[in-house]
This record gives sequence, structure tokens and C-alpha cells, in this order.
Amino acid sequence: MADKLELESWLDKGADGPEQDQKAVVELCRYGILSEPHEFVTMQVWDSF
Amino acid sequence: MTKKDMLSGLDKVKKELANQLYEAVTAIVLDYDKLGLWVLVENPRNSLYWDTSFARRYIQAIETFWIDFHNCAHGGQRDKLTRLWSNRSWGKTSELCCDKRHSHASWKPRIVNGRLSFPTAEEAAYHWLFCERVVHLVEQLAVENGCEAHHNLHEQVKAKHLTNFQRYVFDALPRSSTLKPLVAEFGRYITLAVNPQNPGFLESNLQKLPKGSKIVSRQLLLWENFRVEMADQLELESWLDKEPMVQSRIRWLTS
Repeated sequence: MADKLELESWLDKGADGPEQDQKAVVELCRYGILSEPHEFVTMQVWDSF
Repeated sequence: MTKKDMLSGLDKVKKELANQLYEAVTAIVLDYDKLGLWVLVENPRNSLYWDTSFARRYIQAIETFWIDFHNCAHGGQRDKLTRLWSNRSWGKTSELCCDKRHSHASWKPRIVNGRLSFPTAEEAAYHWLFCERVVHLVEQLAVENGCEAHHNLHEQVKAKHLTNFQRYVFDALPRSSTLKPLVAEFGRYITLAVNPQNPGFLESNLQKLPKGSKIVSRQLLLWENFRVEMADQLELESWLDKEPMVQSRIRWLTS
């Protein structure tokens, strides 16, 4: 069972840092909340002069 | 459709034309599959076409992969449910259902320039975002199957992909975009992992970047394969927004 407080904290404040992000994704997948695909988008960015 | 349909006049002509079209589609699908090509057939999810003898011939003969999606999940204005028949598992991640977190345009016919306009006709056209995703999917599959995508002239020369290269030899500028620039004309790449049904996030981010920045790749991927290291920025908020349904689901799961 996931840590209730942890999931609710993600809901309230959002994940904080890459490790938390990864944990959030893994947990949310496990519970079927992230069941649909995400989109991985690459953007080419010009340097501003 | 059976031959004894008791139709006559225009109805009979329409039926005969539809049968000819369906027969041609079946022949093309069976032949292309034999050649090892990827074939997709598209029709509305609730279309009776899928139950016709014409469609069933190739559905039963070839390993079938269904891809169902709402048009609004791929940039459309309405939640029209579309079905793709595929002879490959490729593109399965395009299966997106409306997340019901956005509003839809009306299905009611309206008068435009004095003529009655039917929204069903608008939804028959592929939305730009859907086309972009399909193009990037095909490009990705091509690269996975051995095609090369060059990003600059150095890579092109190395791969001996030299169409129009003589223009450089004669000190002339290339007239087309066939030849890539000598050096990259942009600063860097950034990658984002986003909700495909929240295009506003991407648009607002793109607007903040220097002029000329553009999207060069889109891939729909399952979350199971996601690793934070893959993305510079992860957009989770729209998945976990303040909608009561999501919140109550999480609370029910964790209670």
C-alpha cells in the first residue's frame, strides 16, 4: 500500500525534485492513475542574443 | 451486403459503389500485408463497416491490432471516437481516450456564409496535431528499422547522402533544404514529458523560448517506461489537477 501522506502531499504541493518525480510516476502507474501514455516532446531551442 | 437487397435507383448505385470501394480496400490490405508493409484502415469506432464481410475477410486473415481514440485527445474539437485497424502493434500508444477535462465543440449543424455546415464533416478531417504525431511515429519507426536521420552536413557527408552536394563544391548555396547546415543553427535541445491532452502547456512553454524554437520530435510513450533522466521537465500537474474525481480516487486507493 502506498504511503497515503506521500501521495496526498504530491497532490497538494507537487513533486519536489527528480527523485520525487520518479517515485510519483511509479506509484501513480501502480494505481492506474497514469494509465494513458504521456508525450515525450523534444524542442530545438535557439540561443537568445 | 447481400445481393438480394431490394434496392433500386440511387440507393442501388450508392450500395454498388460502396461495395466496390470496400472490395478494393480489402484487396489492398491483403496484398500490402503480404508485402510486409504496415497497413492502417480508419473508420469511426461504431461504423457498421467493421462488421461487413469485406472487413471481416482481412480482420480474420491477419493478426489484428485495434487503435481506438477520441479525436479531441489528438487536437480535435469533439470527442468523436475513431478506430484504426492495424496489422502491426506500432502506434498502439496513439490510443488516447478523452480525459473529460476539456470542453467540446457542439455537434449541432450551423449556418456558415449562408450554407448549412455539418460538424461531422469537420471531424472527418485529420487534425494537425494527429498528423504531426503520426509523422513523428513513422520517422521513429524508420530510424528503428535502419533509416538514418541526419541533423547536420557532417553527418550527411559521413553517410554519403550527397544529393545536391555539388552546389557546395561549386561554391553555390544549396537551393533546397535537402542539405543540412554546416553547423547546428540552434543552441540546444530541451525535452519535456507532458500530458498529450494538455497542449496548452506545451504552447505556453514554446512561447517563452527564443523566437525560432520549435518542436522537432513527439513520441507517445507508456508511463511504465518513463525515467526522469529522459526529460528536462516533467509536467505532472495536469494529471493530478484539483479535479475531485482524481483526488477521490487517490484517497480511495490509499485509504
